[in-house]
Amino acid sequence: MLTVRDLSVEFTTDRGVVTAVDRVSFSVDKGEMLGIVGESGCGKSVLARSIIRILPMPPARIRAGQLTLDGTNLLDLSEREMQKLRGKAVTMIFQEPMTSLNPKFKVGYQIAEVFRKHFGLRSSEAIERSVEMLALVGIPDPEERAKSYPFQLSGGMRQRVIIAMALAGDPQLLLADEPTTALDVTIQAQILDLIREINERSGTSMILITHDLGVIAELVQRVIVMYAGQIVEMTTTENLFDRPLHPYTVGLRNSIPDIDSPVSKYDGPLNEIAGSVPALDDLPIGCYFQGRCPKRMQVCADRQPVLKEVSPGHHVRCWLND
Amino acid sequence: MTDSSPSDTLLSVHELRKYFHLNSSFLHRSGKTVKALDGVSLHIKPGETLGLVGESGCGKTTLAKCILNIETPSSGQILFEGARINDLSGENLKSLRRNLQVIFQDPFGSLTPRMRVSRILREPLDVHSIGKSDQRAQLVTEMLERVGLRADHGTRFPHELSGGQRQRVAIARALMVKPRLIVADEPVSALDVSIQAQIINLLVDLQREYHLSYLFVSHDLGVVKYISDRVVVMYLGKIVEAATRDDLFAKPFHPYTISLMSAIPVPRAGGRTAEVDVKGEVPSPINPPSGCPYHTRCHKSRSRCTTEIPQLRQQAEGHYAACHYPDREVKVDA
Repeated sequence: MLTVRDLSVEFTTDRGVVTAVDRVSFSVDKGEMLGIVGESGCGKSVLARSIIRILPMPPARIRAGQLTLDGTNLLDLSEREMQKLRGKAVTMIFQEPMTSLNPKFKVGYQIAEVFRKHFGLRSSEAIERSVEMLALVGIPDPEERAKSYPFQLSGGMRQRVIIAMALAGDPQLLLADEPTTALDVTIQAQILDLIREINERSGTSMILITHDLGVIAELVQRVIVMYAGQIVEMTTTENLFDRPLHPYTVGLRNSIPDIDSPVSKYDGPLNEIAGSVPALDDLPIGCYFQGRCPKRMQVCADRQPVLKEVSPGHHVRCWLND
Repeated sequence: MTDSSPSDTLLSVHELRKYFHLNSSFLHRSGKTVKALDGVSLHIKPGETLGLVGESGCGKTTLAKCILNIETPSSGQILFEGARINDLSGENLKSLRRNLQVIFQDPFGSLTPRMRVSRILREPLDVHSIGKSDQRAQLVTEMLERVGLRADHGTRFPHELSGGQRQRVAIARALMVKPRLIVADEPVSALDVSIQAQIINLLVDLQREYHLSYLFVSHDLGVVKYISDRVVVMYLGKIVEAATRDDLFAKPFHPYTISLMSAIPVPRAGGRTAEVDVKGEVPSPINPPSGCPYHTRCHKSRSRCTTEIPQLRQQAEGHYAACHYPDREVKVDA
């Protein structure tokens, strides 16, 4: 459905050109939920934004071997054509729902806008459809709620409105960037249930971007782990947790205090990943993770490993698996 | 935890209430009251970590602010080493401020941006006249190294450091004056996953070395479970459950605690096993429900819950919960 090949995003900064996304290739099948996990600065959000081209250009520059959605080459589209696609064929939801909604308009009106703009519906019809959408995402008393302004809604309700708006265009692909990070855990659980339900019901393909391996485990079938702009591991969710291969993936998984684990501070320290993420304008020769890696070898400092398929569907960028 | 606090208590809070009066204006004649804290009691012993858990609006930050003497409670008492903190003045207040330090979620917001790190760390020494002035630079260097930074980090400005390094500076600043209690308000929530474990390990090491007590405020139950000795769960300004860490996680009594635990996404193939049974959202604290504050979301709610406020009662040895029907086995139809 979505095919990305050799996608790179560079930013021109006053300290030179940095590569935020480095030759990334992957695809998403119809109805599939793909997760992208990584820490701040790994390039996961830039990657998503480059797919729907909402990066400021310049300073950003996108290069790709291939970027196609259902056969449409996204790189060939003019900005006007791209605008038509956004909000309809492909939509994106963000972490902070307050900033994605216009504070001056009622939420029902804002959802209706999608129906007016992309489907040419008359106002009354569009409002009717937007009330249906609010009901679909589990907002109680949707007719009344449609008349609310964003500030009158709780964080969880606002995120439901955002999801309703994203779904209004009946998209083939939904990009969700940390959709539950700003929410309380009980509300997060409800929104995750809603996202799963929508995926099962509508067959919308989704890319879920998160730093939270727990959210990954909840929702997605396949995962990409990113580090310093590169894919370091790509595999099924099951493999990610049961048979992780990249030392970074292993470190991430082991450093989280798990609520199901009996381990306490009296049982010894948590597993740490030493050091911190390298700056994008100061990357080492060789493997980008070498400075923090407990399994570093000489070759890691000399040459950069490539992403290799080590078993069917399991890709890893590490000399250990060469 | 409730009425009796042991004699070796460092901090104790008794029936603390903090009401905020919403301004009456000419449009709204009836001024309403938000009960941010509604009769909260707890204590912390020397060298112990008390985890404080709850979602937004539960009152955990207001409680932390009252303990830090930033907010004045409406009623109730806070005793630090036996003295009422609201009565302190002069040297005694200064001594309290020295013994009670704080670490915030966002170190960027809590470090003066135009001061170099060495000056940020030296300032508390100057204020509290710790060490001779020619020794203070040495104390700063030692502390930098103790929290895992290098001496040359002292010459940097906060914006030149990473998030994890900034949090190390915030921890170092709190420790400069050798406090007895540190209020840590979501100290790792803003950090990357790979950095969180580093900071948690550092906090645990420092606790042993300096015999520190922590009030560890967090929404992350995994972190709380790892670091805490005892845990308090808050909901809408009240403590709904309090127990040792082992007891709370092994057999929670309050339906809210149980739901909170089942709602955490688990990093494991397959994810959560339990269904989340918490309905709806936290009600507005301006207009809280009658009876049990949790009854609007509780799957076990019965008519008594809508009228009568449950008191925090001992359900097992040292394990308190505020629920009319704390029996975990019986499922009641709505």
